[in-house]
Amino acid sequence: MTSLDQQAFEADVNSGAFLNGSLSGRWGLDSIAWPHALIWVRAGDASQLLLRFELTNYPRNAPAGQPWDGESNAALSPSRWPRGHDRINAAFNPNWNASALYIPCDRIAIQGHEVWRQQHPSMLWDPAVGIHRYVRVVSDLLGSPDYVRAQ
Amino acid sequence: MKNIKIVLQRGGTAQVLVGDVNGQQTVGDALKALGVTDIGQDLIHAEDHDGPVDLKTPVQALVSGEGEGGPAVLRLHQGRCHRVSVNVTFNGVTKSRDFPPVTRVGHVHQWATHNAFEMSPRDAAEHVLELEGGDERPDSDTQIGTLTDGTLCAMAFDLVPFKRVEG
Repeated sequence: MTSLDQQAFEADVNSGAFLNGSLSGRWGLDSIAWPHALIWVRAGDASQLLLRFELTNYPRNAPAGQPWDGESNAALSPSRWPRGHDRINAAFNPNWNASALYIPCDRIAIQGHEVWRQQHPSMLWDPAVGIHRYVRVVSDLLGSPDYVRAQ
Repeated sequence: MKNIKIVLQRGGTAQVLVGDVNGQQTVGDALKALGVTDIGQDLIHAEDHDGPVDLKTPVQALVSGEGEGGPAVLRLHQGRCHRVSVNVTFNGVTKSRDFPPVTRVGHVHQWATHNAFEMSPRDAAEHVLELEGGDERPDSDTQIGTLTDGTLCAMAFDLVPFKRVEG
């Protein structure tokens, strides 16, 4: 039987807000193996970054996302994480944590960064918005001029 | 065969409806497929078309091209506004222009940064549109008609820097 958190997630990836971005080619659902899901996000150079989300207690708890290698079904080697300038290197920083992105909507990153709640309200996790919030933040980053390339 | 994706957004609401139709079906058929059976006094706008469209128009006639790497997509807007008056304020200067309500925020950003405030491409990408008087930054695929109150056909943005996350 499908859990309530999985049902909520599946409803969100089938929502108009998520599909709207998918139809623009900005992101898309790859697969679900609860409590994980793989979602790709398109970068400015048209490459795709695959993210693996840990989604226990979704949407009450924020997701934890990490770059993922779909071919080997393992965490993406840090040498292959997106690189670029200020914002990209801050958000995609395996030296800080190879299992999370350094952005306010990430469950791991927000811990100990209460000041982000005032500094970056538009990037915070919002259960009412759901996974669309997280992938949009990543999409905006990978579409910014700070993004140079995937390694 | 249902080969066209329909995206419908409506004046004054954040809800996005998505469905499938075939090209021979009309705009009215597409609305029914999305559960919209009576539009009352509302107008229907299609992206890349300046004025309201007739409900009897085949959706195929309104699709301007293939989807971006995917299926063909027709974006529709339902609401009372013929046009939406948009103000964008940057560094204390406000520029204004009217757009069809189906226009997406990403297009308004393009106009504001390149045409209205003549920013370089890099500076343009370093600034985002934020609803005036708040901290909400609508997604680039949001239609501006949804950001009105549904009756007053006007809205205002601030163009603000995209702050780096640090600390």
